[in-house]
Amino acid sequence: MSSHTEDNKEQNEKEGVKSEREEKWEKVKEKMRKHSNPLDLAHRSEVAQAYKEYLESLPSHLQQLWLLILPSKRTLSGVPYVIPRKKIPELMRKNPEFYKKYREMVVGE
Amino acid sequence: MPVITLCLPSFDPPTRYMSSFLKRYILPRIITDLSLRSIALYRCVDQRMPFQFSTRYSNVIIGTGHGDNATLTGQFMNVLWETGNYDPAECEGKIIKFISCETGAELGPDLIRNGARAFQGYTKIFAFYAELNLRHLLLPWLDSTARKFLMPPIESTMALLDGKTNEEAYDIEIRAWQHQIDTEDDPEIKTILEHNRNSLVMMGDPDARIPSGNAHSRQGGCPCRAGTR
Repeated sequence: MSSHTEDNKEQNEKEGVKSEREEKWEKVKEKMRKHSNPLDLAHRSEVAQAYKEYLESLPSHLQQLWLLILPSKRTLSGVPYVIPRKKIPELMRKNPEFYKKYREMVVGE
Repeated sequence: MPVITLCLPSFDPPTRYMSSFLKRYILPRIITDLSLRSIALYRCVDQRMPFQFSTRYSNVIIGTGHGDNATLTGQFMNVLWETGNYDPAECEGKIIKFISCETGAELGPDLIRNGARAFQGYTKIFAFYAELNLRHLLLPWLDSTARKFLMPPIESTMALLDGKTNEEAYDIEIRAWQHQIDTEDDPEIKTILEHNRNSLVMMGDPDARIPSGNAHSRQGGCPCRAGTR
């Protein structure tokens, strides 16, 4: 009986973490939808902050991942093709071109 | 006998990952099938000439590499195919599959206009997450995160080699993406998987298939689903 209760508790905790993570990601998407101008530093910083909060909600092994992309020089000049996930907020803030492409991937426009 | 050109640049982590997946799953499939012949272009694809020569004598062209809406590039990002800047004999009657960014936007339609029989590619940035440690740089197909992103295109390529039509292979890839999306917990990874799925396009003849390349056609397609070893 007690093991069943513990299992339920664990399950609820997992669900809670999952929904918190989803909530934070929704916040990133919402801010990205709102801020379509990649040249606005204040907007990019706001999205970057939301992304950072989302990243912090992930277990550490997921924070260690790398984003890899296959564009040519013409598409993304000045953007690395291999990006540590932890550096995404910084890159969003500093690089309007990256912000624009990343936003395209996330909100599809 | 169908001849297949495999374009496998490998000079940075994204190209190394994608080429390694093709070498791990597609190349052995071609080599062991006596009804298929392959021309695999590894690091020599730093010039257009070997590629140009190879495509003329092939029925199928499978390529990865960095790309944009108008170009596919090879080793060290040298342009291999560029919209409006090639001889139509390089693509006429051929089945073409590119795993690269944006080539489905302009280059794919241009190849179809110039006589390619079928084309599959992506209209937007092709992105993937990977664990990218030393072990996975040496053996990328063991990277369970990258597999979520790189096995769907492998499955559709395998389906084409198994004699499935352009449309059937496209559907197989869409289903493979969907499977990954449905089983993913990380909402951002889920979003990037959706982005890749949504940018996959199929053009040309939906019934195009590799001619008699299915002499011993396999049932059930690729034996290695994403997320497994």
